[in-house]
Amino acid sequence: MTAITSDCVLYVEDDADHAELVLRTLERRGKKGGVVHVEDGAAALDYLDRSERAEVPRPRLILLDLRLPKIDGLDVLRTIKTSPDLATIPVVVLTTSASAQDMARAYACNANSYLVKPEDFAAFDALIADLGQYWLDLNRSPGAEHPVR
Amino acid sequence: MLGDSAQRLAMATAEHGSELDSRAMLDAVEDAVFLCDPQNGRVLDANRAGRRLLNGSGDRTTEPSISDWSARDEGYGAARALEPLQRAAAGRVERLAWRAQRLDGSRFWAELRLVRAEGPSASPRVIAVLRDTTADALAAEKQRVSEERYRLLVKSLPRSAILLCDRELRLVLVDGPEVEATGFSKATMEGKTIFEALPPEFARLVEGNLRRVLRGESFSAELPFRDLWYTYNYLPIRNADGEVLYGLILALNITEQHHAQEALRQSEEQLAKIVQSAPEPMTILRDADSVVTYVNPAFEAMFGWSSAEIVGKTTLELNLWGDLAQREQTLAIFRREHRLDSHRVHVRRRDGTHFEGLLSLRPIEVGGSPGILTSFRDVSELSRTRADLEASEKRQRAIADATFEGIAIVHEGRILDANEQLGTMYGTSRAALLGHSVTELIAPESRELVQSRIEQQLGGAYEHLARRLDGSVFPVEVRARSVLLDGRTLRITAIRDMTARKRVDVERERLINELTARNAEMEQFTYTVSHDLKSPLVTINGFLGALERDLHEGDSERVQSDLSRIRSASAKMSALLDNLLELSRIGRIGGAFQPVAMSAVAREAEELVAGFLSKGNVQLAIASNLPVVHGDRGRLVQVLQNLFENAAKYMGSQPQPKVELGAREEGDDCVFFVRDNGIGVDPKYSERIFGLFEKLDPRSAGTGIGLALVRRIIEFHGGRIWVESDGRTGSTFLFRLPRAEGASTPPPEGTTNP
Repeated sequence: MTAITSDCVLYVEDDADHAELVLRTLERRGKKGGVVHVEDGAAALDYLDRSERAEVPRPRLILLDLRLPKIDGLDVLRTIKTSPDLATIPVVVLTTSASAQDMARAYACNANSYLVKPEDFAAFDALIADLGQYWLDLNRSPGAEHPVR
Repeated sequence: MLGDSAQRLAMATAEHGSELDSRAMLDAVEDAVFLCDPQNGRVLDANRAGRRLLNGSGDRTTEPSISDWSARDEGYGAARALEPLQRAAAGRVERLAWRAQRLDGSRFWAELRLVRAEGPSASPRVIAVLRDTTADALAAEKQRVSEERYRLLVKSLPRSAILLCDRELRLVLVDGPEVEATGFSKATMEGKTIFEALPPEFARLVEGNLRRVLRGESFSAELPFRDLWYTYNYLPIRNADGEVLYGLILALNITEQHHAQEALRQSEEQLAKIVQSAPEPMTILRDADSVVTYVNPAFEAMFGWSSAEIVGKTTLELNLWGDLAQREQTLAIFRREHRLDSHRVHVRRRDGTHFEGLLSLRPIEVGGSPGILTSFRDVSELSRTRADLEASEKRQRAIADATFEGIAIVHEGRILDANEQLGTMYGTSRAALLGHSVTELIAPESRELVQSRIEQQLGGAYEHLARRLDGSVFPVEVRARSVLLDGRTLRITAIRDMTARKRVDVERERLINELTARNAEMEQFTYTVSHDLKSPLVTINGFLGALERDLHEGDSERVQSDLSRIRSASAKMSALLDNLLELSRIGRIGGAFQPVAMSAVAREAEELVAGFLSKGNVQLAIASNLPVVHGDRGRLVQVLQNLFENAAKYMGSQPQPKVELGAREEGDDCVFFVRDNGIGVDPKYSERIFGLFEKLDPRSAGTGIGLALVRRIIEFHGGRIWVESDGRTGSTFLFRLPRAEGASTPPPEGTTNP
């Protein structure tokens, strides 16, 4: 398998407005280049499937909303984390839900991080900036050469 | 005697020699007298009787002989007489029994007496006197025959013996079966004295009695001989002159009778003892006058009189009867049936107290005269116990009838007893249930269960379906117990009608389910609201921030975009809030339920969505004659409006988008369908699409509340909604609603009417 190593980020978000806001912030920080935006869970799993076949770049980070059409965010997360080839990809849950139940479920499915979208623009902007800096600049994660078997 | 007189006459003739006189005298004698030659038995002379025997007139040519008047073929004749003649000639008197024969050939027994006649000693003559002894012989024959008879009698008497003793106590005759049986023998005893023939002590005993008999007494005595018992009848045997010649002993073996009598005596003694010690009061009355002849101690004890006070009196005199009519009655029955069994009577003790008992009478023979045996049984105790029992039974029944539960006592599958309540419960009376089969009171589907509980004799409560006599079925709770009573296994069953409780249970169950559903819905609602209402806020705030920056940076194109996003997010929020409010109103605020013509509802909905449909060029076809349902008109308009919009919204790239509404009737319900030829619904989402804020396509219009609202309304009408689709070629939304049965149909429970 030839993994395409890149700064690819898979962003799963059904709300177009929210996606616009996130993408604008990442663009301003120069991180928009590798972002792939899909609108539902099915599309996300489809992308990952194709990345395993090396048709598209393998994401080094997945940003995942929870309430998604077709396939729910939690189901997408569970699929990723129970797949040996995908489990090593960090998944950051980015959602409007501050529900403790959602949080617990996400972590139970081995989410790597759980972020609540702030209502305040400045906070939202800062969060996305920090997110990009932390997960793309500071944090390191294994590539596809080291799948969990 | 004649014989003697003839002899004396003959001698006198010889002495006196007066021949003529003596001949005349001899001729007068009845006996035949002959003068015989002892040498040859020739008859030299005969008297008249003798001559008659010889030849009548006496003129004869041959010399007569003794043989002429003897039965020569029987061995009697001159030859037989020669020796006695010689002895007689020598001077002895000879007596012989002789068989004589007359001229006519007839014969007779006679005594022949031979005496020497006086004369010259050289040629002695012998006088023979023949005397007819026929009369004597007859007497002897008679005696022989009677003796013979006696022997026969004795022989025919079983277990008897006869002993004949002469005056010398010599046994002249011993006979009878008992002789040999006692170890004696006729042969060894006859001719011996009793002292020689019998054991000494018995001989002494017999001697005394024999001497009494020989003195002329006649008596009987009962004496044991060895281990046997005999009755001895002593009889004197006399001759013609009345002299006692013999003593006769007739011995009869009475051992068996003796033993039987002894046994009888003993059993009578025992019976007497039994009556004496019997716990039941008994008396014996004389049949003739009802005088008491005997009372047992139990009678004395019960009635308070002593035997001496009672015996000799009648029960009437003793005033023993509590009711005199009963005395007449019992006696009448006894006279008629010769017995009386356990007749209930009232009697009186000596102290005047009354009590009740059962009287029985039996005929009995006492001392050869008829009597009545009475026996009496005190049942007053029993009666009292029964009265107590009856009272207790009444109390128990009162309790049983007062309970809410039906109670049955069952034996071998049939109702032995029941309370009133059970009758009411099964739609009949208590009386009608008695003897009724239990199985018929159980609904067929519960029979196996009940049967197994009975067979295993299980106690404890359980539920099953009961059946009334009219066949209607109702739920019961049963608590049963098997008990052993009077040797029978009875099942005591308490039955509670569970109809009311079941209804409450069902209602409670329904409420709990509804509350649980509402609660889950509420949770879901809160969750989605917190998520989905926040979402536009994030957008609004986010783009306000972006707008600020874009204004600052002078990017007018982005400013327009930001403002547009803010506006639409705000509109979306407003729509969300409206829909949520609408959703929350269902079930709380609504119009009254009434018959609603769905054709009219469909037309109204069509008007509301007309603009939306025409924009997408969607054709709507509504079937004619839609049924009338029972419901809230306004809400039903909402249902069709939402379904039409939903169908039009997911047409995809369909060039000829079409939506149709139709209905079919199923029992009491109507099933409506809204069919489209759009993109369809993947079967795996067929349930999820009715959830709140569920949208399959994020870019589709709407708030995600529409179908949730529709489902809510349908369910509120007691109906159900579902979708059928293969996920490619359109979808059909179906919902079921109760059909109206006329304007008078009441609204279903739970409807609030403001």
